Amino acid sequence: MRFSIFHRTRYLYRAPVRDNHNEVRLRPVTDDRSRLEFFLLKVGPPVRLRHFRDTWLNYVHYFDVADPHAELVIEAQSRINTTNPFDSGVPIGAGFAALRSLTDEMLPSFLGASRYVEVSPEVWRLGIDIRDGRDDVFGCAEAVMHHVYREWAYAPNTTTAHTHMSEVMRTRRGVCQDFAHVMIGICRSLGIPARYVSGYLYNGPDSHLRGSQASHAWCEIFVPGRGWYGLDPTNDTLADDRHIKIATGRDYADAAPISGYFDGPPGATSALHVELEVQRIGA
Amino acid sequence: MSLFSGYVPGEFFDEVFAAPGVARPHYGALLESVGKLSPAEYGARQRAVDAAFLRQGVTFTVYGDERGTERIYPFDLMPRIIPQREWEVVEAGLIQRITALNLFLNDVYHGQKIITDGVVPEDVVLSASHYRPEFRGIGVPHGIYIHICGTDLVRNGKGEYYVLEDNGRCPSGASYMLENRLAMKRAFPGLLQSLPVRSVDGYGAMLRETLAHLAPRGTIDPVIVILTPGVHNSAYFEHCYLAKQMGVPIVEGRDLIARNDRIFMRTTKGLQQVDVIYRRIDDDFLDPLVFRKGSMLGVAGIVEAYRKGHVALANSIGTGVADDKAVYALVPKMIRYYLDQDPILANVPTYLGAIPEERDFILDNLERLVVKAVNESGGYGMLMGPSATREQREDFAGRIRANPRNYVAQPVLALSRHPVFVDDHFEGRHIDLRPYVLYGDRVRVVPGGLTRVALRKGSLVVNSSQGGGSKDTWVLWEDRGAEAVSWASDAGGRGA
Repeated sequence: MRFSIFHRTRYLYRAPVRDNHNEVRLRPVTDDRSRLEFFLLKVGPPVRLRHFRDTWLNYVHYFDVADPHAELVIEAQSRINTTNPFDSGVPIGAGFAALRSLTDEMLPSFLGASRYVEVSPEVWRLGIDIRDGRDDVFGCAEAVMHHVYREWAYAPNTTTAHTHMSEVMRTRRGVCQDFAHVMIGICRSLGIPARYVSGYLYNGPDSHLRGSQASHAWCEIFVPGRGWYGLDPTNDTLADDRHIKIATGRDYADAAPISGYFDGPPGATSALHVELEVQRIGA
Repeated sequence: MSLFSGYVPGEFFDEVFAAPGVARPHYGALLESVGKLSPAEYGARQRAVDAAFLRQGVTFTVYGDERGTERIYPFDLMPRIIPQREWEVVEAGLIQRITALNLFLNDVYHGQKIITDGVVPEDVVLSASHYRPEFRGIGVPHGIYIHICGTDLVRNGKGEYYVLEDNGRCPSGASYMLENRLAMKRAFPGLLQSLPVRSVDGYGAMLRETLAHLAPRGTIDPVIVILTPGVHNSAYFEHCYLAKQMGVPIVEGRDLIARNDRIFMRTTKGLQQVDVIYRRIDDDFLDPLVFRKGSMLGVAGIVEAYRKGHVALANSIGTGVADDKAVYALVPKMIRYYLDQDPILANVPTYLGAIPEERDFILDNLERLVVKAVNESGGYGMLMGPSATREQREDFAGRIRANPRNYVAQPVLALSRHPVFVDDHFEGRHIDLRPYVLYGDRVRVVPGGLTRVALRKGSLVVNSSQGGGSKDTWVLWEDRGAEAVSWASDAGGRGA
């Protein structure tokens, strides 16, 4: 599917702030499954924009605004062509024994606890129950996804961007970010490498989604011998060609779209406006 | 005998024919239907369109021509076609470019970071004659300076697109783009509907939206006007045309008055406050209090009203610094600096008179270069080295030595050619493309634009003032099925 995406984030400050340093992860991933045809990141006030690849190979833009400013606008435009990774079938057939012989040096980072994800005995017990003796890695991950979708309530505004998974385990409610963290924690407790994905979700033909509702998060698990595959516990669906991937990492902390620090009084940010439009376009 | 059987593409990149008798695929459907006509039938349709243009007064004015003020703008009936996939690259390049230019203007009129960081030379930028130091530190609506841009593109011998210049002051020609499309519909009824041609009809509405977006905050239904220098301006037809398309009044300077830092329009019902002015007057003539003292065309006090934010101007004041042909050479650096990307559309290599080594190179190679005065447009103040006489070259050499900052030079490009109907047959003529870019809440590019044709045989100058004409430009969806693809129907409404 081809999409045209416009994503504008505006910060308004109560009083001018200075030395505003930011890292931005807003450039959709281009790989063998999706091709980024056009991307443009515009920042106002004008800045020198630069980029690097982080540990997780995300494309990170960074900049700073030294002079006092009362507003910061970050606009990302993309056009991307996606394919469905599951078109060639679902990666079943890899058993848990294969997980023990994994040698990829990156994988251990996706097996333990991280900033927002816990791997506790309680989580592990839940994982064992869900696994229910299954030996297929992907089949087991699907079972975890169904379980999280069924047992957790989708409840906007009950959590924040910085809510830890342990709280979500207790309250059993949250948004896509929390669903992803829970699923990641359960998978890791069972020894399945799992990582966090931030991206966009195309939500159907009335695609003028305003507000931030098309910003999405889901998770990917590593299937031995096959690679990473995405599952979306918020929607109980495999991450297909409607899921547009931007960044991956151990959890939200590694993949946050915008993170920044500025010099100004506490609580200087008086308003944050997000405009997001994911439009399907012709082939 | 087919209409195109005797056509010779020649050694240039031909837009239609890859080789004699071999059309490029995106022209297939058009040639199939137009190619059936006899030269006499085709000629009759061409003459009918010419007559209609004359009747409707689709005209322009040539300055310095004593023969008469108005002329029709010659129109060649054979459209230029750009396939959608190719257009998408052009469009992406234009969006990238206007974004960088606006960031540059915003920067130059505020912190000048790009200069402090040593990315562009201070003297080249600040010596541009259209740089307006009076405007440093003045905020403009949404930080956007160029709202309406007409970027001139050409293709070289390999068919690659190049940006020839950016017109960020008062680019004209959009009215011809619209009129040309109407003329095509009349000349070939049914043909446009049968082909997947992207529409340009929305331009008037898009322009109005772009202007309305600038209105001072809180204005729900802004009053928009077009400010024209008057009937003697070369683009007066266009000013009226766009006013009609947008449904807004057209005014001259004497119709406006400044009171209390606000701008009012004299109407039959008294004064009415104006929120947005699409001005088709150069900065110099805009306000006799600030710029050229004797100007009768502008409005005294309009600049102060703009500074105070009580009225919006499109384009903003001082955008000419980005139009300067020496600053043009710096655009790739701006794109890398502000957007951290390589330019999608290439610049034509440009030598600056301001840099001593490059000036010497220009003077030594005048017979091979095109020399341009940095602040001129419309093909004025230009030397086509290879075709110029010795006297003309010597005259330019003297001018370059006297004021090197004022000149740049570029290699002569082998511009692409397109078949043009001459008397009773087709001949190849050089063309360019001026797409129109609008920067309101988003950047939007009208699919296509104005294809300009150098009608004189062998000429490379496409400007209307220099004997140029134009063509309709079609951006063609390659696969009409693409639009009819069924949409995924998924509830999924639990995002985020």
